[in-house]
Formats: sequence, C-alpha cells, structure tokens
Amino acid sequence: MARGERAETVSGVPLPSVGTDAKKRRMTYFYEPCIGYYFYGQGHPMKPHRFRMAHNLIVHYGLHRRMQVNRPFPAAEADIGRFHSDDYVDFLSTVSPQILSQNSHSHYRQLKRFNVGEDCPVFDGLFDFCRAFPGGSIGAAVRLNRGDADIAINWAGGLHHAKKAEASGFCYVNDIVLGILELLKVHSVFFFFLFFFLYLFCLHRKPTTMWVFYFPLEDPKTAVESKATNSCFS
Amino acid sequence: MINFFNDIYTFYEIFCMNSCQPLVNGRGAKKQRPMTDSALAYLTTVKDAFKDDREKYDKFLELVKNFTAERFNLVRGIEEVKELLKGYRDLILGFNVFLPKGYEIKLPLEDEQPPEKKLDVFVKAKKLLHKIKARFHGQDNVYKTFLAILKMHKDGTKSPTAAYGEITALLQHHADLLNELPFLSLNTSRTISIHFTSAQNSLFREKSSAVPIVQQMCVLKRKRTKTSHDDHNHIVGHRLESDWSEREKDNRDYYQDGIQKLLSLKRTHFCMAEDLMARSFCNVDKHFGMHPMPSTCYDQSSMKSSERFSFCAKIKDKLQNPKNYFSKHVDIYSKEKTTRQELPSSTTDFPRKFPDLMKGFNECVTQCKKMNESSRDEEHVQKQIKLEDWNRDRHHDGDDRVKETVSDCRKRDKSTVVANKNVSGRKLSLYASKKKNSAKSVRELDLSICEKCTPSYYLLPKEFQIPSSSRRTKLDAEVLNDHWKCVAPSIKDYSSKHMSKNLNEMTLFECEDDRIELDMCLETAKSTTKQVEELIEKINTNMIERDNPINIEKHLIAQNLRCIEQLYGDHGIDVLDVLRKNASQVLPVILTRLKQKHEEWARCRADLNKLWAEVYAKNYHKSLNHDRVPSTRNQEL
Repeated sequence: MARGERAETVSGVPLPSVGTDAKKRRMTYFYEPCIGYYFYGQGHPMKPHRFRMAHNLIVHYGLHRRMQVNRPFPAAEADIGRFHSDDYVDFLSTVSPQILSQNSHSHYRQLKRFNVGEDCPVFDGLFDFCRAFPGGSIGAAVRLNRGDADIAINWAGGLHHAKKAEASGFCYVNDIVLGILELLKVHSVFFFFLFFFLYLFCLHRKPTTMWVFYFPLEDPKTAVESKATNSCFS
Repeated sequence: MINFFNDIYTFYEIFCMNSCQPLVNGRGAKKQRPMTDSALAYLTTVKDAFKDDREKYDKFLELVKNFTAERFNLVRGIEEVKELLKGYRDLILGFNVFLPKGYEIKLPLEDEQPPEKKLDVFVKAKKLLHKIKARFHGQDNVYKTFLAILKMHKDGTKSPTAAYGEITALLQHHADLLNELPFLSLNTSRTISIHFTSAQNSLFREKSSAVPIVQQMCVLKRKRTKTSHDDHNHIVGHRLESDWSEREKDNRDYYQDGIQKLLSLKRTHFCMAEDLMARSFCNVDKHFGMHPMPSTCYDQSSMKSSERFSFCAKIKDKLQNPKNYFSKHVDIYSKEKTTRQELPSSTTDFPRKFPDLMKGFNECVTQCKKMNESSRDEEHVQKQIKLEDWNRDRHHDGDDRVKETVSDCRKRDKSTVVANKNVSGRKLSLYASKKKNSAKSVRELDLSICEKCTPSYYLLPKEFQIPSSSRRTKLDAEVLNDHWKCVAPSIKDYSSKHMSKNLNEMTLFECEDDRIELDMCLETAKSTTKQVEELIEKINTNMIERDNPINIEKHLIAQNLRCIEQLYGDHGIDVLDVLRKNASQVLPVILTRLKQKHEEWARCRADLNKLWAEVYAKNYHKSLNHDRVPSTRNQEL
C-alpha cells in the first residue's frame, strides 16, 4: 500500500525531524483526485475510495499546508513495460467489462493466463487506474533523484504483489519495482535492502518484491508470519 | 333393593321371635305386633312373587286399601284377590290371615261340615301346643327349639322333610305327643300322615308301607260314617273348652304363634305332600286295581282354606282394632323411609333383651359391613381412576421429553448442516485454486524437479519460454530476475474468506461496505456534475467548434460516462448515444438530473447515518470477542 520513501540517511521520525545537517525535512505529497473513483466491485476488500478518505483527513487536519502537494502524471506504457511483459501490458490496455461480456473463449483463456478474475477483477477504467498510482510512485522517485525533497509520499501506491506477467493479490502493476528502477538511475543497489522490511505488512503473504531482485531474503515465512495482519486496511 | 327387603324381613322375623317371649312389656304391643309382623311378612312374600309384574302388586296394594276402607265389599274383595292371585294357592290361602270376623258368618250358609271341622282342628291344635308347653315347663329350650324349627321352616332355611324329622327327633321320648301330631294331621290333612308314616318306615327300613296306609284310610272313613251324630255333640263341648282357654291371657300369645306356624308349615308342605299322595295311589292301584279320586283332593283343599279362615277369624275376635293394623302395615310397607327409620331403633333394643338371638343380629351387622365394603369398592374404583390420571400425566411428561429430544436432534442437524457448509466451502476454494494453477503458464510447471539455489527458490526449466520485455533498458536487465521463482513453504491459501469472524464483526463489515458504496455514488455524481459543468462552459465560450461533433471521450472519463448511464437506468445507453450526437443540447438536461440525484443521495446518507450509528454502537464491543475460536484464529494468523 502507500508508503513513504526516505532520503539517504535514515534516522529519526519524518515530521518534523531534523537531520545531521540541522535542516528541516522537505516533504513531497503526491495525490491524484480521480484515484478514488475506481471500484473493484461489490464486497471486494480492496477499496480505492480509502485513498480519497485519507486525503480528506490530511486536508482537514491542515497537514497539506506543511507539504508540497503534487498531482502526478499518469505512467506511460513504456514506463510500465520496464518490468512487465509486453503481452501483459497489451492485455491490461485493452481489457474492459464490455469485452468480457462477449464471453469468447480466447478472452476466457487470457483471463486465466493473466490471473484476472476474482482478486483482480476487470472494472471500468482499469488501465487508467493502472497508470495513475504508478505515476505517483515514479514521480516521487524523480523528486528524490533531483534532490527536491527529502521524503516523498504516495498513499495510492504500494501494490507489490503484481508479477511480471500476472496480476495477483488485488495488484495489477507493481509500482514499487517501477519506483526502484527509477531510483537506480542515481543510487546504488545496496541502498534498497532497507526497503524490504517496509513491505511485509499486507493481507496477502507472498510479496513479490522480495524475489524480484537478485538479493532476496531467505525463509520469508518467519518474518511474514510474525507480521501478517490487516493493518493495511485499518 | 332386594337385599334391603331381605334385611327388613329378617328384622321382622326377629321381632316375631321377640313377641313370643313372656317378658314383653305392654299389652298393646303384645296384641298388635304379631299381626303387623305377619302381615308385613305376607306382603313381602307377595312382592317377591310379583317381582317381574309390578302392576299386579300395585293392584294388590290398592285392593287391600280399599278392602280396609270399605268393609261391606268383603265378598267382592275376596273374589278379586282370588282372581289376582290366580295360580298362587299359597298366597290365596295366606290372605285368610287378614280376613275379619264378618267372613265367618257368610261361610256357614254355604256348608255346615267345614265349621265343625274347623273348630275341631283349632281346639286340637291349641291342646297340642298347651301340652307341649306344660310338659316342657322346666325346659324352655325344648319349646324354643320347637318354635325355632317352625320359624326356620317358615323362612325356607329348612326343607319340610328336614323340619318334620327334627320335630320327630325332638319329641321322640314323648310318644303321646307324637301320636297326637299324626292324629291332628290325619284330621286336617291325610297327606301329612302319609308323610309321617313314610318317615317312620324309613327309620325302620321296612319295604311294605302301602297296606298300612290304605287300611288306616279305610278305618277313618268307617269311623266318620258311624260317629256322625257323636261328632255334633263333641263340637258343642269343644266350644266350651275354647271359651275356657280364651280366658288364659298368659298363654294366648303362644297359642296364636304356634297355630300360625303350624298353618304355614302345612301350607308350604302342600305341594310335596300332593306328590306323595299320588305315588301312594299308584301303589294302591298296582296292588288293588283302584283308581285315584280327584274329587277327594278338591274337597281336602277346600276344607283346608275354610279351616284356616275359621282359625284366623277367632284369633282376630280378640283384637280390638283390626282395621288399624291393616292401614298401618300397608302404609309402613309402602313407605321405605318409615321402615328404614325403624331399623336403628330395633337394633338398639335387640341386643339388650335377647342375647340368644345375637347370631341374627350379627348376620344383619355382617350384611351392613358388606354394604360398607361395596362402598369401599367404589372408593377403590375412584383410586384406580386417579391412578389412570396419574399415568396419563406421566405419559404427557414423556411426550414433553420426546419433543425436547426432537428439538435437540434438530439443533444437531443444524450444526451438522453448518459443518457441512463449511466443508463444502473449503472444498470449493481448493477446487478453484487447482483450476487457477492448471490454467497458469508459470504455475503449471512442476518445480520439484528443478534446481534450487536456496530452499525457496527454484530455477525455471530451460524449456520454459520467458515472456519478453522489449522496453527494458540495459540497467533494468542487469537488476531484474527472470530465471528464479520463489515458492513459499506454506501451501495454505490465506484468503479473507477463511478468517473466522463472529456475527457481530460480519455485521460491521457489511455496514462499512454499504457506507463506502453510498459514498462512491455521491462522489461519482459530484465528479460527473463538475465535469459536465466545465464542458458546458467550454461549449458556451466557443472554445470548441460547434459545427463538428464533439468527442465526448476526450472531455469525460469512463467513470463519468458510467455514472450517466446508470442515472437513466434501462435507457442509459440510448442517452449516451444521443449525447454523442448532440452534446450541446443534451448536456444541460443531464446536468439538471445529476444535481437532483446528488441531493437525493445526500439526504439518503443523512438518514442512514443515524441507522448506521446505532448498528455500530450495538455490535462494536461484541465484535472484539474472538474467544470462541482462538485456535482457528491462531491458525489464520
């Protein structure tokens, strides 16, 4: 889910923390207003509407006056294609409820292949949704790379279960991998070991991010079982 | 009723014995009681005879009442009694007891022979009783026994033969008395003499008995023809003797009772004697070739009735109030209440005076106990009824238990159904997961054969075709892993469906879903309204060329179009088609409708917020309770 990304030196709390350089931390906040319009379906645990609720809380508490609020650009197909396979990206860009209503065999076979159905249903504006939240994550990474901000937040992001050629665990596009790839343009690889522990809190127990890269942690069962809760929805 | 009358009869018989005793107080009691008791006894006999025919008995009672009230209808009454009691000779003869003195006057006109014989028999009977009384003066037991035998014979407890045998045994040492008894019998009725003779013969066990009987009969006939004149003189002499005996007040009761019992003995003995006489005549016929003479029998029966009548008539001359006792006994007998009231008084008097007669009293008491026992039986029946009720209640309790058992079974069935549902749900989920695995390209692989670099990472086989990513940069290719697949050690499918939730928790989740969806509707309408307003403003300011059709998809996102479609329900698609053709005219109408809908939903949310607040307040604390399924919850965790 949405998580904050930090600068080089990780110490203290985000707000209002002071680094070794005795400067105030600069905050960047990414929010797309349309993110709350998407609807996974009746009774589905994943509710994008909660992102809108979180935003309303931030505004009513007056926190937006202490941060730089940005509206992200939607991610392009080329950006999503850096991690996901070509056929999967093409499938996401063309699928819609109207197409599914035709009940053709080829469509059914594709749905099975890309694991689109129960946890990852097809809804109106699915591909727009898949471009919106990765846009926020990529935008946050860009800000960090430029040095415009010390901390960047995207509550709509964090969909870490998506696989290279499959949807999984309410996730269609793995925005975390895309964000990391963007950060790798400037930072070294060792830097990202620190992020793994932040992504263990999830309703589903198999975070894909752990084995996407060549520096995996062994026996994730111990860590996952001790931390798995519903906290991502609370 | 029959038992009751038998009890009354027994008491009155006891009173008859009571009246025989010398120590009775009061003359009036002496005079009235015997007649009253005998009358009641006679009426009881009549009633027993007419058990099946109540009407005749009622007529008889009315006749007796009329007879008592109207003295001048005596002859007519007698004729009616004969007709009414036709077929019952004993009852007709017994009725003579109640006939008054007047009847005596008419009867001599018909025939002169019967009066003479009657007087003769009466005098002889009195003499016999007097002799027995005088001889056993020192031994009252013998005289009492004699009277008791007569009573028992009268009651029917002893057969005539047995009674006669006992009397013979009682007087066996006094030959003169026995001789007089046959003499009396011979004069009044030959049948008794025949019986007596046969009894003697049986004692001595002699086979030939017909000849002596025949000889005696011939002798009697000869004597009568020779001494007819002497008999007339003898009758006058007897009259004087009777006058003398009448003066003896002390002996009057004894004579009266004795005569009555002898008469009753003869009366009841009549039928059996007749049979014996017929047999004797048959025997005579065998020996002498003689035929029986029915006229003789007829004369004998008429003589008997006339003699008895004369006896009773003379007895009643002494009594002062014959009418009174008639009306008395009739009233007493007709009213059951009166007789019932007399019972306790007689009971109290009885044991004091006559200890010898306690047996009869005990018998009565025993009968009373039997009645009590019968009442106790009724109580027992009532107890049985109560037991039956108790058993029914018991059965009812059993039914209640059965119902409880049935309800328990139903509960168990429900729980079983629930368990079955759970099992079926899990099976379905497993089946679905299997389908997924079979359909997936990567998941179809059997990685158990593949090489491992760590316990969780398997190397994809060489045959597996890795999907291509043409847009990857050089840096991406270096960093991303396309050859190793991580397989989690746990095979369980941790879905939210399998997490155990109590009823209250599920209620809260449902409520939350409803709230979110309502919020979605509101926000969608709000967003669409905003977009439509912007679009209308652009059209009005000529930012978009009016001549060319406007491309709606460029200005409105999919959610907005979806919102408009749902707004118009079944006609949503038609509205969208019209919107694409002529947006400038349709958009204002859609805008108005969107605002209305937004207001409706806002009002609806305000109302539902109250309801939802109650639901949360009611279920929040209970939803935190997961103690019932701690193990399952731990497994889920």
